[in-house]
Amino acid sequence: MSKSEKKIVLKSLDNEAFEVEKAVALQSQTIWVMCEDKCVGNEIPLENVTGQILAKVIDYCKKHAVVDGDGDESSEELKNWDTEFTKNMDQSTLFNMILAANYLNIKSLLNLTCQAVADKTKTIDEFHTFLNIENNFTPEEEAQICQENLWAFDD
Amino acid sequence: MNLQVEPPEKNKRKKKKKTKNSSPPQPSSPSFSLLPDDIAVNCLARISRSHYPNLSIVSKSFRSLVSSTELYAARSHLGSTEQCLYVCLSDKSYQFPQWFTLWTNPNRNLPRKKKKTIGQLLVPIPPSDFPSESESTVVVGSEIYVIGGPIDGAPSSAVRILDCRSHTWRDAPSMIVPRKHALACVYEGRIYVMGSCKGLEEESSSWAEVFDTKTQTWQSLPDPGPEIRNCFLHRIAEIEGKIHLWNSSIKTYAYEPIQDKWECSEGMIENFPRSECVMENVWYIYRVRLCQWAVKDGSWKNVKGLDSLREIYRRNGGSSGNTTKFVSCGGKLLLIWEGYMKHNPNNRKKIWCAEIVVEKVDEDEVWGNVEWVGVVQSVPTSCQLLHCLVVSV
Repeated sequence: MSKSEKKIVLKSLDNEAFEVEKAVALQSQTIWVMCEDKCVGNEIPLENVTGQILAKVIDYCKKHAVVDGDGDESSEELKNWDTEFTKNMDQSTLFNMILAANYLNIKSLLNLTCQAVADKTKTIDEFHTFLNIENNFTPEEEAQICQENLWAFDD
Repeated sequence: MNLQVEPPEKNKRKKKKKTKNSSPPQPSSPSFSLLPDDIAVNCLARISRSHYPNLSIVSKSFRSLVSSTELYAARSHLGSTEQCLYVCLSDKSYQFPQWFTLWTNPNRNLPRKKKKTIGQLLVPIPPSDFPSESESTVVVGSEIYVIGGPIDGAPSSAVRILDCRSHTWRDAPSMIVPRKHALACVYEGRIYVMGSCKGLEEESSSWAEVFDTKTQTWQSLPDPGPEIRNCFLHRIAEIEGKIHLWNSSIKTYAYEPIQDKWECSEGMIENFPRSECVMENVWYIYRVRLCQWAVKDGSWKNVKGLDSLREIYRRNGGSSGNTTKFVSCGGKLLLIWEGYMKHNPNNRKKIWCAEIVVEKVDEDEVWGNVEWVGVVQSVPTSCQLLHCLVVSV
C-alpha cells in the first residue's frame, strides 16, 4: 500500500480539512461505511461536525488507534487519558462531542462523553444549568409532583 | 413526622427556586433536551438512581424518561444497575402493608449552609392494594413477588408483583391452592412454593407448586408423601440444583427438579448455607448483638471494629425481642432493626439502619467499618418490620 492510500482527508462543516491515517478515521463506523460504499476519493465531507469538534474527535481516535494495537498494558494509561480528555470540556463542547460521536458512530467516544455528562451533573442546579433544560412544569403540576414525593409519614 | 431530619421536599423546592432566580440557562449554550432520546437515556442510565427523584422535577421530558422502560433497559445493558433495599412494614393503622425503598441522599456530603441534611430515608412507594402479610416474598430480576396469605389471617392463592423499576404493582396468576406463610424460593427463574395448605382437598396433589416466570404459569409438583407434608418445615433454599427443606429433625428433604422427584436422607445438609447474607463466599450473621462471619466449614468469628455499632444497637432498642434484619446490598452489609423502647415518650417506633463495609484482612480476621448509622423512618409502635429484600435495578 502506498503512503497516500493509508491517509484520508476529513472535511468539516466549515471546510476545515484534516489529513489522518485511515486506521484512525475508520474507528468511525460512519466513515467506514462511506469508504466501503461510495468512496469519494480520499476526501470525506462531514456535514454535521465543525472543525473545532472534529479536531478533538481526531485527537481521541489517534490516541485510541495507537493504544488498541499495543494490547492491554496501557489500558490504565488510556483510561487516565480519557478522564483528562473530558475533564475540562465545557458544556457546549461536550454536547457537540456527543452529537459528533453519535453522527460518526464511534461507540466508545459516545459512551465516554455520556459518562462525562453523568459525572458532571450532581445537583438539581446542575441539571438545570449544565444540561440547560427549562423547567416546563406549571406551578400546579410541580405542586402535584412534590405531593407525590412527600417522603415521610404524617405524624 | 418525627424524624430529626429535613424533609427532602423542602430541599427540592428551595433549590429549584434558587435555580430560577440566580442561574438562568445561557441562551447560547446548547440544551440537553436537543439530544436524541436514546442519547439522553444513555447519559441518565449512568447516573445513580438516588438522583432520579431530583431528575423527575427537572422537566416534563425528564420525568417521562426517568420512569421509562428504555432507561432501565439501558442501565441493565450498560451494567450500571444498582442494588437497592426494599423494606416492608405492616401496622394495623395501614390499609395495606407498606413497602419502602432506602433512598440515600446523593448530595448529603455537599457543603450546605444548613446543619441538618437528610442522609438516608425509607421512602414509601405506591400502595400494593394487597392486604397480604405473607412471609413468602421472593425477588426475581427487578421484581418482588408477594405470594399468598395470610389475608386477615386466612390463606390466599393471590400473588402480587412489585416492579422495582417503575414502582408499579400488578397481579400475577394465582396459585393452584391457597396458602399462608408458605415456604418459597427462586431457582433458575422458577418460584418454588411449598406447604402451609393443611387440611385442603388438594393438599397431597398440590402441596408444592412451581411458577415459571417466563411462561407465567403454575404447575403442581409431585406429592412428597405424608412424612414431608406433616413435619414442621422452617426453611427452604436451593443448593446445587436441589430445593432443600429444613425441619427440626436431622433428616434432610429435597426436591430435585431435573428428575422431578423428592429425596430424603439422614443427616444434615453438607453445604448448609450458614446464612442468607453472603458476600464473596463469606457468610455474615448478626446475633446476640454481634456481627459474625464464617467461611465454608469454618467456625463463626466476630467481625472486629464494630463495638460502637453494638453500643448504638443496644442503646436504641436492638434486641432479640425486636426484629432485626441483616442483608448484603451493593457490596456492603445493612443492619436494619426496630428501635422500639419501653420509655418512648412519643409512642413511636424508629426504624434504624446501619451500613457496614467489611474487609477481610487475612484468613482469621474480618474488620467492619460503619459508614453511617441512623433512623430511616418513624412508625407507630405496633408496626412490624416484615421484609428486607435487595433488588438490582
